[in-house]
This record gives sequence, structure tokens and C-alpha cells, in this order.
Amino acid sequence: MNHRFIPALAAAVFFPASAYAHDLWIEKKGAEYVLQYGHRGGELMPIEAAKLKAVTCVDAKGAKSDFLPGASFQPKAVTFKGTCACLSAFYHGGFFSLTPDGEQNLPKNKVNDAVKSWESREFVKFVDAAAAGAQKPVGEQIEIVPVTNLTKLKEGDKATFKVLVDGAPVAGAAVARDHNPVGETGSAGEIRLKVKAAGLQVIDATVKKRIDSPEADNLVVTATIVFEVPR
Amino acid sequence: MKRPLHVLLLVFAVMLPSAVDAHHGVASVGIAGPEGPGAAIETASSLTLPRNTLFFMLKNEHASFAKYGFAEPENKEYLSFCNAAVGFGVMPWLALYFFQPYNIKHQDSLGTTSGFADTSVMLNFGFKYDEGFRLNPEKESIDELEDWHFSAFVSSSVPVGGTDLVDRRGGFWAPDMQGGFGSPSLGAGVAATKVFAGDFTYLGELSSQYFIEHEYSFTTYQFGTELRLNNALVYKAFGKGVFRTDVLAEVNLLNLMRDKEMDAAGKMKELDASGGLIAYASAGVRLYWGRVSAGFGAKKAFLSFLNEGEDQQGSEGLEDFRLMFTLSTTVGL
Repeated sequence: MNHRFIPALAAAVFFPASAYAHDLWIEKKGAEYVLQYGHRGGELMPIEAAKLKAVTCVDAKGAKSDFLPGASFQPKAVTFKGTCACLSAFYHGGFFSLTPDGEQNLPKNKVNDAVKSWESREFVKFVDAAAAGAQKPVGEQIEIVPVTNLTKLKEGDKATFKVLVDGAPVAGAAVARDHNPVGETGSAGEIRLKVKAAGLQVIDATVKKRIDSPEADNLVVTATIVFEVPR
Repeated sequence: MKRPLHVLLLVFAVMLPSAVDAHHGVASVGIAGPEGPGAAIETASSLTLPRNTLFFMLKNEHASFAKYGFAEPENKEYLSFCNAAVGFGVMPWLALYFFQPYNIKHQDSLGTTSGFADTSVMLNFGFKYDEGFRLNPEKESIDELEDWHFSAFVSSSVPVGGTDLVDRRGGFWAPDMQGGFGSPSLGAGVAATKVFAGDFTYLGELSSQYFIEHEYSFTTYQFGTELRLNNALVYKAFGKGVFRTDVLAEVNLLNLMRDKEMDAAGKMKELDASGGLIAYASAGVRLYWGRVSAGFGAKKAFLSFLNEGEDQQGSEGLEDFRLMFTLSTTVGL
């Protein structure tokens, strides 16, 4: 047996689903929206411009506009100017393979001895809870839609969220808050969470689907919803 | 001494210290490790099993009794209650359980009696309070597991245990030393669970067990109704990955009505040397490894008001100690 497989096998077995991706989130700072990647409050990762495939602003009337051309790329942030009821971004992380030498951002047919491989697609949206229409689905491949009206939400309240994949509720999506797992969606695609503290709320949902393509074993799609609860 | 100590076993069954299944929330297993409310050793958890989930439990309780001169040479020395349980989540708010006890009881000079006791069946109905009362949902987030959860349960035993067992001298064992009760016993209760301050869980339970009289080949006997009020406080002392350690303390109140036995005139008569009120304190630890949980505890009466305590050797409240062990797991289908 190839001894390089042993650590790779161990890594494959213990590799948690949450490790598939870092957090991707949007914050509103003054008149700008700031897209960041990594761990909020911790280490930030660079955002590759080529991987940012789409940025869509939805206004209060539901009209969509493309914000990607006006994006300003910095080493570890991307900023957008404008006013949106909801700002959504799609970041295609590409293909990843876990090999005896570690994780590589390459499809499995471009590496040797891949024991695990996946394609990562991340969708994030910032919702202005006070804006009309902000809570409606944007129509991304995967997204989290608030069922509860976020407008009156305050610390200690609970809110229900629905996870949609291709517009349909999905059961079994792994949901995390600030990168900490909090549960799975039920058959209606819903999960109910408490506002632990006022301020920025970052909730993500991940769905893994077996695809067995030449590039990857699995497709991992992640949706993140970000909104503010007033202090 | 007419107090049937082995009736405790059924009540334990009703209490269902469902350990792992205090953590049935999907967040708890397979994603974040054992999160959510803690479980006690004796006090019931009000959480029900997830739908289509099997639950398995083994439990043992060993009671060692203080001996008295007046009871010589027939002091009851120890009772060991073993219980195997299988549960199934019919709905997120309804679980069905089967219990099969196996008991070992030793009485000085009379020997040891052992064997399967009465099987029992229990239905557990779960609901919660989250902006109003509602049935337990299909899945709950870690946040939802912090809500008040309640359950109401009913149970009945199926009298399959032996009722004509004989001791070393060839005489029939007293009813409380027999394997089964001969007739069904009916149980009912309510339980509540609440997480607070993050790592603490309160569990409370009120339950009762009613015994139908039974005509043995040597007497007609009815065990006294039992009423229990259990309270437990569980603290999550450690939790990382699939591992978790809880420490817990419980106060268990037990009120025993007098047993009855048919007299020479054919009337059921309340018996002396039976019944009373006992308060137990217990402490324990519960360990989790993913879906598997093991609990250990020790229990001792700190108050007892037995009706004729001086004559009730071998009764609840007169133990030197009780030791408890439980092992449980769940399997999703």
C-alpha cells in the first residue's frame, strides 16, 4: 500500500464538511458594500477576481443590476458602491482535491492520488432588512430566504429561514452561524434560529451533491445570508 | 417488608433517562458533536426520538441495603435491576419504547432469585414551547433545543415475569421478591427540559405508577401506588467534537402508598411495614461519544419518612447506597 495514502485517507475520513469552504460575507460600511473571504473576526483570505462570477444588486422594486463591472478589488476585499435592498454575489471557488500532499485548488484529473475532490460554489447575499422586497429570493442556485420578517427582529428573538436549491426547498442542508454548525434543514427546507446577539448576522447553508465528474466527486454549494439586527 | 423494590425498574423505564436522545437534534450528531440539552441518569428527558430512529439502552441499578437485627436471618442484602430498552421514533413528537427487565435479588438465608421481569411498553408524546405550544418539529436547531420541551407519557407492563418463584427453603418468595407483578401496572407522567445559561440543563418529572392486584398461588396482593417527583441539574463540563462530558445532580422524591393484601375474610387490607416518603440525592457523570452515551451515578436517601421504618428493612429509603450505570445509543433508519 502506498504509505502516502494513509494520511490522505485519514484526512478524507475526518475532513469536516465545514472545511470545504471559508466564509464569504458582505458588510455594509457607509455607502459601500464590502465583500470579504476567510474567517470573520479572524484571518482574511484573498479574493481572486476571476472567481467572482457575478454580483447582483436588487433594488426595493425588485429590479436587478449588475454590480460586477463597478467592483473595486483590494488584496483581501472587494467593494461596491450603491444602494440595494439585497446585494448578491457568486464566487466560484473552482475544483479542489485532497491528496497525500494536502489540499490543492485543482480538479482531480489534474492531480495525482486524489482521495477526495469537490467543486465549490459559494453564493452570498446581504439583505437590508428594512428595504421592501429584500427578503424575496434572488434566484441563485442556492440561497437562504428569511421566512420570518427580519424588520422587527431583535436580540433573543427566533427567526425561520428556508434554504432553496434551484428554487426548491432542500432538506438536510447543513446550517452554520458564524461558521459554527447549528443544525440541518427539515423536509420543508427550513431551520429556526435565535438571534444570539444584535449586530451582523451571518448564516450559511451547505449542500453537497455527488456528481462523479472527471473533475470532482462532489459539488458543494454554499449560501450565506447576511443581515443586521439593530443594537 | 412488603415494599416491592423491583417496581422501581418499571418506573425507571418510564423515566427513560434517554441520554443520547436528549441530543436528538440533528445538529447534535454528525455535524457538531453532542450538543443540546443534557440528560440525567434517573430523571426523564422530555425530548422524543427523531422520526425513524431506533434507540437502544442498557441500564443497571444496584441497591445494597442496611441490615438490622430484627430482620435476621432474612435481611435483604441487595437488588440488582438490569433493563434493556428499545425505542422507536414513530413521529418527531411520538416515540414508542419496549423495556425488558432482568432482576437479581438476594435475601440472606433464603437465597437469590433472578430472572426476567415484566415487559413494559411506553408511549411518549413530546411538545415544546416556542412562541406558543407546538408539537416537537421534525428537526430542531441547537437554538431550538434550548426551548422548554415537554412530554407526557403512558405505559403499561405485560406480566410475563415469574410469580411463583420459590426460595432456598422451598417456600414462595414474597411478592416483592418475585420476578413479575402478575398483573399489568399502569404508568403515566409528564416531564420538562430546559437549557439555560448555555451549559446548564434543568430536567423535571412527575410520574405515577399504579399496580393492579394479582392473585398469586399463595396470596392476593396489590402493590401501593407510587408517585415520583424528580429534578435534575446537568452541567456540560466539557465538549469538543464528538466528545462531551456532563456532570449532574438530582433530587428524587418518592411517595409510596401502602401495599394491600387479602385477609382471611377476603378483603384487601392495607399492610403495615409498607409505604412512606423518601427523598434521594444523587450525583453522576455522563459521557458522550457521538451517538453513544454512558452514564454513572450514585444515589442515597437523605430523608425518609417510612410508615413503619423500624420494620421495613429492604425498603426504599433504607439502602446503604444505590449505584447506577446506563449505556445508550441511537441508530437512524
